Amino acid sequence: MNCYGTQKAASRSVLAVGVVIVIIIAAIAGYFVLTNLGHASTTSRVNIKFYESLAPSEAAYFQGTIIPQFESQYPNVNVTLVNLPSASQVATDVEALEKGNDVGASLVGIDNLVVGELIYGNYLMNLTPIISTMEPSGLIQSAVNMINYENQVYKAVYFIPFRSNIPLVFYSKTAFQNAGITSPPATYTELLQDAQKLKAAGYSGPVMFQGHGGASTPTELYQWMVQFGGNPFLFNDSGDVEAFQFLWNLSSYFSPEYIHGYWGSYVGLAQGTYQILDYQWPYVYNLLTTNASLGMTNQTLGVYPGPAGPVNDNHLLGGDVLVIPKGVSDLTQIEEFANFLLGAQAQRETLINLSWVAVNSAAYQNLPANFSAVGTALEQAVNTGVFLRNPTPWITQWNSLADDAWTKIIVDHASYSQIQSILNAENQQLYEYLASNYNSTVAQQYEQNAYKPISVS
Amino acid sequence: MNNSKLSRTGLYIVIFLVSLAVIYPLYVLFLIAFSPVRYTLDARYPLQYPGGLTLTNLLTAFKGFNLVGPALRSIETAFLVGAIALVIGIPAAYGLSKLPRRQANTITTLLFLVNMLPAIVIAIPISAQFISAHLYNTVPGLALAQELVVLPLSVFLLLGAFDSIPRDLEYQARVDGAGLLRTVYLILVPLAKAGVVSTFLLAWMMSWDEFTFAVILSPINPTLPIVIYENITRGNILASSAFALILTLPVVVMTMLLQRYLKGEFLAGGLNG
Amino acid sequence: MKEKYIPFLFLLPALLYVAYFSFYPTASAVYQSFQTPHAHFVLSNYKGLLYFGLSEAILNTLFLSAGALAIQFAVAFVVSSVLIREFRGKSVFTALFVIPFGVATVVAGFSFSNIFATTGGYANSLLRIFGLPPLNWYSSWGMDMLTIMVSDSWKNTPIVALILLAGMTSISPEIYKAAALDGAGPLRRFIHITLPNLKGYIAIALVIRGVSEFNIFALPLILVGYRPVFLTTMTYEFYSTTASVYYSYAAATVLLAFVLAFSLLVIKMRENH
Repeated sequence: MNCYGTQKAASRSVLAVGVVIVIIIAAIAGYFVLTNLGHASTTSRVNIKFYESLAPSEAAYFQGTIIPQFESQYPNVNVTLVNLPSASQVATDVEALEKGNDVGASLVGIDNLVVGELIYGNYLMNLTPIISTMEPSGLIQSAVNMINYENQVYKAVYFIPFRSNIPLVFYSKTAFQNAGITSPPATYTELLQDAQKLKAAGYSGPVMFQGHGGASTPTELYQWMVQFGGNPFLFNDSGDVEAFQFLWNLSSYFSPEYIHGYWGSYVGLAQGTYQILDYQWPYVYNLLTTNASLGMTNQTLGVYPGPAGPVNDNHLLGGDVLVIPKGVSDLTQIEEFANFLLGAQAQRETLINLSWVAVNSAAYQNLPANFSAVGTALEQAVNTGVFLRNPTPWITQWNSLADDAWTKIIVDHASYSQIQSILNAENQQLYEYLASNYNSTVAQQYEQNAYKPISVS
Repeated sequence: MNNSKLSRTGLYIVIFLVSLAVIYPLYVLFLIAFSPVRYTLDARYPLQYPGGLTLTNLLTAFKGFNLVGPALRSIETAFLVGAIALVIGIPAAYGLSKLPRRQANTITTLLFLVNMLPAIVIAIPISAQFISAHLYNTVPGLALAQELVVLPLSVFLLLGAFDSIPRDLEYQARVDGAGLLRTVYLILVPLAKAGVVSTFLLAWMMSWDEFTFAVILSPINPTLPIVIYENITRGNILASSAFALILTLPVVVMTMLLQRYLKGEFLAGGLNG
Repeated sequence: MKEKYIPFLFLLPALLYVAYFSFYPTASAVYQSFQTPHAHFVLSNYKGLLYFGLSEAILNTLFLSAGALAIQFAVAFVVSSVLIREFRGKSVFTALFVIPFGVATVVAGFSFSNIFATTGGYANSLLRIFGLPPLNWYSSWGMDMLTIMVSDSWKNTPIVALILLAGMTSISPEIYKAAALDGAGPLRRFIHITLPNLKGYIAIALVIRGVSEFNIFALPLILVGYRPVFLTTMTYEFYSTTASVYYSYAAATVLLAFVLAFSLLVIKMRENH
């Protein structure tokens, strides 16, 4: 065996690889140096980390516009956006930072869905002493109601709503015209009829739903169940059951894409894969109309609050709240940034550019004349009525069970007669979970309908 | 003769089809990264050939996303993983080469058993431990965890490298008065140079691609594979294609250069004893 | 006396590392799977898992592993039979064929999620070119499985082929010639000569690939999300929703049990031969 020869050839190729690595590292290091030449950091600057979970376009806007505006007004404060993949990840990471005593100067924007966990785990600072410096003068009614609710239940204020999010329904005006539908469905009965008309006109899967699971599906189901008059947490009261029965019928008209549908699904509306997107968050309006290759316009894309349920037409108020973890440093600068985010300037800009429902009422003054159709739809939705999900610490368990119900009833298409029993089983599961992981009082209160949606209109 | 010609044609057909299948997913990556979006992602039935070539996708991705952070993170972690593989692996391989065959095989099997324990089973309890040890979301912490994936194979390769050094050389060095550690590090390791370097590179590559530990142990400052995954789930396909390119290019080059070491003999022969 | 223990001294860092970073967290995960905030040794986490579809997760994982292994071994046999022969461009083909091994799983997931889509995508666009109707690659459980199996096999067939190739090169061509003279056709030669001689190599490839198939994580996460559910994605799903982190320990323990059972099975089968 030619050991020496093999070794020599081996050494050569290994050397070549080593050279490749060195070149790559040099290139990256050079790029790093070049892009950081302008960022001289002095010790007097305070560095705030802002933890959030934003869509890519929202994150880009934050980093490109909002943060630089703040930094120019407060020159000795530097803000870094830490964009995490999901709301649960934000909660997990805040807990990890707290346990490791690594909080530093942090402000956290977290989905109101999971803030209950952080409150229950005692990770959050009580904002009551500083709320006068943080809370802007004119909060919209739903935000005020939320803070009142906190005072009532927790005897303290742990979070302040800073962006709200209301789902809207988007549809293809062209497709509706082709199917002979003159106006978008005003009730769920009409929605079913319109789906049939669209199918008859040749659109095989006209209705899109956020059916992928994760947090999107339970969030959407929550609103459906409320509009049918149910308390979604219970799973099996009459309103909840009727909602699932209706969805079971509607699922015959679902686009096959629905199993991948989540808060980022919208392209199919432009491509003609589906014709009515019920529902999606308003930020997609700008994405659909400004993307040249998608090519939708005011004439082809319709947006409105959506069909009214049999019992009410209320909308889920999703969105993020600001919290401050316990033990942060540089509290003054954090308050400054929070104040800026809640102030009229930032709120107005995110309202116009990202379709974020502003919590500061001053943001709604002097809106541009061409403030899009989506703005009108948002206003209508807010005026009809909004509600919040009750921020319990076990809401993610409810999410998993709602997901399970969705899979069994819609995705696996259980028979219609089984819907009630499946939902009964989910109710039973959550009851047992509360009894064994919390205590029997919580479980009983749950069963006795204590955890209702919070109406804030 | 006819038979042989038929089998010859069959051979080339198989080679052609397999080559196509191997290249196609990488070709799709190339298309999405370098072809204008209206031909790839915004089109319901994308074109199979490049409708045009453009750098806009990459430029937008690089401008709008923090590329350097995750890349540096991946590089630092990979180097640390490679270094630890040598620091722990070289002594371990030397020790194994001195043991009788049966015992060495048992211990090697034990190490491969470690490899088999699902990463996700280990990652979750480790994340809790790391939080209290201040190793959560740090490079050393992630490197220590990723080492689990890498160590068994590293020890195995180093063992093969040490085994191929004639025993006489070592005895000669000891007889000449060199102490044990000197013998190992100053004489044996240089002789096993090719094995040592390829172990380092293999460990580097495996850490570069590692996903499970990274997604659980380093979520706030992620490595490249995690950023790709996050961008895919957020529907930001263009950014993930840019990151995927950066992740893939060094590794494809390295794989092709290292392929003689990945040949079956090294992997299968040693275990057969 | 001292000489005997020196090899173990060299092995000590590796063994300590493995004990602390692998065995201890695993034991911790198993232990915590029987806990809840209020109780210390209960089965309620497993009961909860059963409700959420643990039996489906087990079946899906088993089915996926079996199917993926079948595809990988079938294709690997074909490719290694090709590689054992000499032909023009062999070194190019070998270098090409090994590339998927070096591509990160996330990148493969990225490419295949754009190739296989519910509507549109590159695969459907290819089908359209050939005049075939487009497929919804996620339309049913079977389609989901097939999509994941194919995507997984793309990356992992090379390593199986290399191991089998190593085994095939060790079979002397004389045996084949003798069998051919005795009138045995290619299929009989394969079954009676190739397979028996490759038993050891097949076993090794089976263990390495089989365990990796049980641990498959990034690909299903990217392609199908959490439904159909697998043991690893189930573990991660419950880990990332903090209300049910104990469920994730239970799912991880179930996964561990299957991995250990599978490894023991294969090792036992190898010993029996």
